[in-house]
Amino acid sequence: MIVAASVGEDLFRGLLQGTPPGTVYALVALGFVLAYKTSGVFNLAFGAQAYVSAAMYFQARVEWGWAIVPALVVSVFVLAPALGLVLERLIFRHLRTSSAVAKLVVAIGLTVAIPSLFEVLVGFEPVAGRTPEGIVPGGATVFYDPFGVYQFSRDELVAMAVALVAMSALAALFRYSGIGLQMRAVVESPRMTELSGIRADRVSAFSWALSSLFAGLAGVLIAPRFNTLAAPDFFNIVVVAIAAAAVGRLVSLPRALAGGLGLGVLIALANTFLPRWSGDHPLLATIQDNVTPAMPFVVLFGLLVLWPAVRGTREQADPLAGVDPPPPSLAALTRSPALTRATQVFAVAFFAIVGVVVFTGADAAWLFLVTQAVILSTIYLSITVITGLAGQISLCQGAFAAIGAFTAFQLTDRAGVPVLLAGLVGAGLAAGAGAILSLPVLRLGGVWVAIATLAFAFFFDAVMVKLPWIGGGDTALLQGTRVPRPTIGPWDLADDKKFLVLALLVFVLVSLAVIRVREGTVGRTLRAVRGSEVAAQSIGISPSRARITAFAVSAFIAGLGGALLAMHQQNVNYSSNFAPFAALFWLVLVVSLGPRTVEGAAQAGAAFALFDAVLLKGAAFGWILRSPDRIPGFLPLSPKWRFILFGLAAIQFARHPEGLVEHGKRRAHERVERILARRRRAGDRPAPTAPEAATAVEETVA
Amino acid sequence: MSRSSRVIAAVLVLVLGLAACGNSGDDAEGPATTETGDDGATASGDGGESQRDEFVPISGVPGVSDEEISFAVIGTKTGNPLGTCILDCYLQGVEAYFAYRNSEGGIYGRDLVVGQTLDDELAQNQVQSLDVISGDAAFGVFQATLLASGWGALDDAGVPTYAWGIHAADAANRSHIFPSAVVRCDHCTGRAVPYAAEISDARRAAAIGYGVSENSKRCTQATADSIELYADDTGVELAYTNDDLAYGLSNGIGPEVTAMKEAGVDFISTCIDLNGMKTLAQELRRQGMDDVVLYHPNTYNQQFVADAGDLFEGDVVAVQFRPFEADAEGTALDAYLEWMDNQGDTPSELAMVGWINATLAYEGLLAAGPDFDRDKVTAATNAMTDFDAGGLVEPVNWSEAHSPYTQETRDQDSSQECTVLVRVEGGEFATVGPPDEPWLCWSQVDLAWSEPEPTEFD
Repeated sequence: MIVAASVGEDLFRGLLQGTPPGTVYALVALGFVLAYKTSGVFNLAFGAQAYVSAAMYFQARVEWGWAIVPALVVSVFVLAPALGLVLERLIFRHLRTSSAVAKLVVAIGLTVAIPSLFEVLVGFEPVAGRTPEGIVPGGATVFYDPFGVYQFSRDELVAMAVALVAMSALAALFRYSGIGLQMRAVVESPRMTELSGIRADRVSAFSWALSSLFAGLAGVLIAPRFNTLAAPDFFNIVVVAIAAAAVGRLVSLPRALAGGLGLGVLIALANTFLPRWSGDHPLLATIQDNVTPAMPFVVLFGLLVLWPAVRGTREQADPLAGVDPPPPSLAALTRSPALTRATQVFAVAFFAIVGVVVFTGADAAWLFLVTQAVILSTIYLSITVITGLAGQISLCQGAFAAIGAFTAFQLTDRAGVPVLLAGLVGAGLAAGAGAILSLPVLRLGGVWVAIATLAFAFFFDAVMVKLPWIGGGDTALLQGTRVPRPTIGPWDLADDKKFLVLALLVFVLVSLAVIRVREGTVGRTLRAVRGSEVAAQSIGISPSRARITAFAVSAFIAGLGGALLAMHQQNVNYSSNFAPFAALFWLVLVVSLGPRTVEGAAQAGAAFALFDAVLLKGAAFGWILRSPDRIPGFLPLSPKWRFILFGLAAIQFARHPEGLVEHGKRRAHERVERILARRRRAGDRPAPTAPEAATAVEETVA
Repeated sequence: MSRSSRVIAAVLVLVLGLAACGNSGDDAEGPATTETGDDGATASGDGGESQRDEFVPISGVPGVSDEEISFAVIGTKTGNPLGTCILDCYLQGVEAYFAYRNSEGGIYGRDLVVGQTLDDELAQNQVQSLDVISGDAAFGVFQATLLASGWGALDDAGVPTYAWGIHAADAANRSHIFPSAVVRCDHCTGRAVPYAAEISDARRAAAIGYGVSENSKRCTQATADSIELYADDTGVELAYTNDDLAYGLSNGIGPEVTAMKEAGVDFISTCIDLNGMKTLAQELRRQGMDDVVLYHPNTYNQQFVADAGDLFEGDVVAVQFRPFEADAEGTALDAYLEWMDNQGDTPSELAMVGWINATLAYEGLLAAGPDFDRDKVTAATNAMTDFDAGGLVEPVNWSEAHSPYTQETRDQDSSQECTVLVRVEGGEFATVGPPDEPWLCWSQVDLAWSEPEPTEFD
């Protein structure tokens, strides 16, 4: 039996125990606020930036044996600001007038790309079992007990001091200095700021150097709290710290600090008192079992949907953005009928050839990959609906897909339901979950929808997956979450080729449905709401209904795809397929390649499933050179390049929101149309002179 | 309703109708297991050492040529969230064993070789496994992976697969999957933890674990049940249980340690990873609980313990094989240490797992006879009733080992309940049992408390 100390003493101790982790959250939350105030970017890549400096500091101190000061100078005061300047110069300078959502997508891309890029360039590998060193000698081994209740390590005290000083200094910077005011002005409208004679580029560069320096400092201070040094740790902290930043509505530094500390303390107090009282109170036991592991995500979600102040937060938006031209139409809608016919003929021929090759020549591994690509393309169509059509960023598509997959597992395992029917039920349940989730979320705008869905994804991951009626149960404990392949009449889809046919059929059906939605009433409604919510309401459109529909349809597609994926792999494989970070990468892929079109989703599916095998491992070279023995020696490349390349490709989202493929397609169409027009004109005229012909040839070649 | 809508709706209705057809494998009678008699009658011949040098031309068997028998190794390297050495260390063990056997002439006139090494990048195990199956260039597969998504495909394809034994659920009912450690019941009560508490002179024990999965919660619950079950016999009572720890302990573990301190806990058994163990030990030290003994399920890592200084001093660590600190003479541990040294590699947990897996692959070939193929090797292996890898693991009865059971049905297990425990002394490990008899075994039939019997398997 637990010997209970006084509640007051425990309360005080819990407060002290929650302060060190609270300081970690506060540091990251301050970084968020700093980045948002100075750049208008909801910088999910903050954790990646922090990781780079922490890893560099570890490398310098432990691997290269540098002293504390030079290691700190290089990792925090040189590398971090340099990284910030590079990001500003190459990426964010061009995005100043982009929407907050566009900037968020770019930040997500950087979250994926930066850690892998650093690891490849420096040759750094994540560390385990070794505690990273702090910035003071004896940081982890020397303790102080200022109140006689709980000891703080020297590292923790330094982190607390830095958090306090940083908050004060940054607040003073914004309140009393000219540069602080200029930074905020540049975020508000760089074009108007430049009209006032302020060099927006310089101010913006300073902003990024400052916020990146802070990320580096936070990274080095945070690292000693873990016995590992890996990018996912930092990303997870970022997700937790968003809750703290939300307390400050992304603009208040003192509130962000208080939010971080408060979150740490809240978790510590919950861990202090819930286990003690839960034995006598079943409700508390339920909360302890189900909520404690996901406390930060519950707090974040609760804040977003229940706190009116957050819902009312105005996003940074350039007042002159209204004069910017609207996004261009889809290439397929603007090309000539002749080109459309040519494209269709080419597509039919291409898919016929690929189909023949796959169904006659592919081995089990390639069949698996192609089927995976088709199913992922189906799942990615859910992103086409929610992001491409509705303009919302949902980061919980993995959770919706997992609902479909787990339903297929549970219904077949417990009730012997035919797995296809179970998959459809799973898709329906996912649609229900999507609709319910959209009710509180739809009142949020822009980045807050993304953050709320991210919180839901982490809540699903931390709490729901382990519930026996979702991901667990006796069968799962004994032999995992195995899912059978279906049979349809005489066809046993245990055969991989037959299952590929089913996957293709589903993809085609869902594609037709998505095109139907895009071109139908729902699609037009969503476009109207996206263009101007107020204007849409004025003509009788209900934005709420439109968004609920979009969420539900999107979740249905994701759930259906998730169930198919589980059938394909004959196992749910939750960690491999549906974890939050994997779903984050899905979004990066789709928005990079084409969020508004079926082709974009298909290309993203193919890229996810086939990029490693075809390019990084060199199969394409083997095909071209007609022998796997001739694959160049530098292959295979590290799989980290997949994250680097697609992460960096997401950067293009802000400049080409239609996606790289759609952008390239339009350029190609324009060029072909020009050439065709020139030839038509040439046919009506006498033969061109030699220089004209040469120019035409050069243009064609170019 | 427009035409295309009607078409889509009609196809959906069709699919719904067809959905009622059923699931693949509905007609199958239970899991596919290889039928073997007590004498391994389905294997092609008697096998055994006497035939080891007998060469028989073989054609049409994947990975087998006149010169060599080729295997693939698949493991996690890129994206390993634990950051520990898995694929490289495991490969060292497999290659050391192959070098050892090849130095004696190999088997059936052929060398054992690793023809393919594949990094499954954490989430690509199924693809890599299918790649090996399609390539048809490997006789069998060695797997040291964190996510075993490819084991089903390998089992379906009939590929003998020797694996790091941390995925009991993925190995269950799959007759071609041979894990290094057989765990048929993850969640049954056992005597190892109560015994470790007893010999640590503990009086009040805690059981804690991550709440990240049903598995880790059940592990914690089983530990708590075990301590309670034998409390009267060991004098160790259960004083604290917590199966809701956040994975990675990102918020620290201060309040939980305080609660254990207030509960007078002097022994803590955990279901958490080695990085979490270090966080726990650091917090215990901070709160003046250095004397508390920790029971580690996953920390048999000499470098990790040495790097931690005296943080784990006096702790008890469970090991899944004959520990390096036990007497090696007369057992395969001798050869392991010698050949790891010959290869220029440092002994490690994963290398030992690779060695044990390779031993079973070799012995399966030997039992199948010189005219071997995959089915014969699988059948011969599943006919083994006391595989102990030359004294490195407790004997495994492979004719039963693929079938999981629960606490209620555990009487179907005819083997002993054995464990190996080592204690951290001066930053190094020392066996709890006598070094020449490092296993501590109890009867599986009689679950009543008894002192364990120090045992040697050779």
